[in-house]
Amino acid sequence: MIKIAIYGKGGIGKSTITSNLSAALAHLGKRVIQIGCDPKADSTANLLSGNPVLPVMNYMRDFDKEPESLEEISRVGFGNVLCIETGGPTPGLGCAGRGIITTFSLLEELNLFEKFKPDAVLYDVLGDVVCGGFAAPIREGLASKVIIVTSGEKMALYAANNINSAVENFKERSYASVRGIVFNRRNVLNEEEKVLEFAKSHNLEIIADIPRSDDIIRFEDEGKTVIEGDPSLDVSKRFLDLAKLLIKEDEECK
Amino acid sequence: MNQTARIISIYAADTSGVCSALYEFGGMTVIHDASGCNSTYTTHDEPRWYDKKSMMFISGLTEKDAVMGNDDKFINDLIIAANELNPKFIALCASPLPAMIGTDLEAIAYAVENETGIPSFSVKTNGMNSYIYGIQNAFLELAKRFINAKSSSNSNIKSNIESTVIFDNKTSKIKVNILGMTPLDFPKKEYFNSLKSFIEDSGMILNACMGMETSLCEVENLADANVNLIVSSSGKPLGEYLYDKYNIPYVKGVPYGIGFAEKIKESLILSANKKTCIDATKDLREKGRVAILGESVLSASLASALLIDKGIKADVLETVGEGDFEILKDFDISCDDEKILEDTLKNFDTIIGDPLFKPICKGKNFIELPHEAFSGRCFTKNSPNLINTNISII
Repeated sequence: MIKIAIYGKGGIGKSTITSNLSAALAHLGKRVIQIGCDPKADSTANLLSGNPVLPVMNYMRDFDKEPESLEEISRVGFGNVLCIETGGPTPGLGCAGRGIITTFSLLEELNLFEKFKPDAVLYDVLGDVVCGGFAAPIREGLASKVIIVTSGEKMALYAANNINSAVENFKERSYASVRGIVFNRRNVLNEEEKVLEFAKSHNLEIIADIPRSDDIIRFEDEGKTVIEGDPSLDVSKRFLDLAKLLIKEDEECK
Repeated sequence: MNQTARIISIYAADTSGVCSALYEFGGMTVIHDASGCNSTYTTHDEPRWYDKKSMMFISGLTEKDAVMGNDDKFINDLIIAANELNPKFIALCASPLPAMIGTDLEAIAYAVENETGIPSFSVKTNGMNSYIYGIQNAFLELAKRFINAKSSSNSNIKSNIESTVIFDNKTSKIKVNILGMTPLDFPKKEYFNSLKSFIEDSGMILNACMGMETSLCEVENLADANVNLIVSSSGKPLGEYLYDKYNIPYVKGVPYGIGFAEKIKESLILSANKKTCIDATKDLREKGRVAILGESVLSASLASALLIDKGIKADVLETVGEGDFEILKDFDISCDDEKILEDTLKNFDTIIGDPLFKPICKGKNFIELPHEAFSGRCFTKNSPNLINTNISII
């Protein structure tokens, strides 16, 4: 099974990358689950055409109980991707990291993987590995690979470095390892050199190069991924190529 | 407020269950918790504490360690202790604090095992579940780690379901495992002795006990048995695992009284021969005006024994556990809420239960049946042994 956690600086485009990758995997015939692990709960918006799923934490807050079925906290989006959002506590209160752990325990209790039998699970994780909760997706049995999304902007590379170090620190625990970088271009000065230098110095591979694209923004305005909007676009092909790479690697592991 | 106890006691927690389950297997069990918190276990929940040595530890978690995520300190302490004590395994379990901050004990165990070479595992707890949950998970983890499948008789492997061995109780002796026996439900050694005698007097062999008067060798040999006797809910997941993986069927029930003990004996022989799982209390229960409070397997067994030996009809009010309606009947009740329990008890004339239930049973005929997991050592000396003997409490 393809099990990927996607990390990167806040606002760098993780949700866009993740939902397009989910859509690409689905487009290639795979059964996909996308789990948004961010209190903002907007990871899966572009897979659901503007009909958001009720986040797990919101369910628990609104109903003051745990959900009893997967149907209550999931929605099927484009390409039959099963969309789940952890959501978060009341802003300014509670503990968002704990919310992620609670959600994962709950999904285990609800036998998510046994029931849905996915070919791929993608975790779209908030910004940085700030505490134990945000490292939960890369624990044993969950994601096996980490993809770091970055542009050539200084703070994006700074966050990428932190994430890479954090994952490296968990090596002795049998956690996921970093598979590579998705270069999400912002067209800043000397961007390519900076990202290439970062990748080289950390011995990381750039596994996808996503150009800055008005098509992404145009289809996002319609609540879609570019894969849904027009899979023949160049930018769509970049996501499809990444999906094919991950599928190939997964098949080689079997 | 739901699920609260204003008057009555509360049951031992899952962490106590883990310690109780693993006490005799030669491992090092560590509750990840603040210093001092293991006294609840040692003073209330563990009657073996002063008679039998065991490596039970608390990590001494501090606020700073929790906030800073100082897992390395815990790992180092574990490695130092393990190298000094050389335990047969290391088991880690979480109190509410590490459970709340999501400490990954599984990963810590992995790191410790890599460093020490000693089999290490975490047992799922959060300090807020009952002792049953802790024992269940501890037995399961231990068995998964240590069962020596090669030593098992091949007829037990699931793929080889057709067994040619016919146990007539004379020519071939049935090997029995006892599953779910800890002092939290069976506080005195004499209970184990009685159960062992019952098995042997029935012409069978006690293969292993999980987990009193036992050792790690018995865990390794678990798959050699022909049938499992589940004597409490704490043994149920292990029983199901052994059935699924090794095709060893189980019988649920405690051989209380005379008639029901005979029924258990028949069930063990039938189960071993037919490879089917049997609830020994099935068809031996009737709704009545007597309520038995406590854990489901023990209480249902007592209800069946009372019906057979004395013609007394009794309902079970499961006051701890997950509502095991495989053994509970439709007229039984699972209830962990004091107020609802108090109201429900009004429907009965006689109540059998731990003495600490007495305050909510006013005006009723109350028969004391101490339960270590509920009242600790307070009433252990009054705890009657009902195994394979005349029931004289009522």
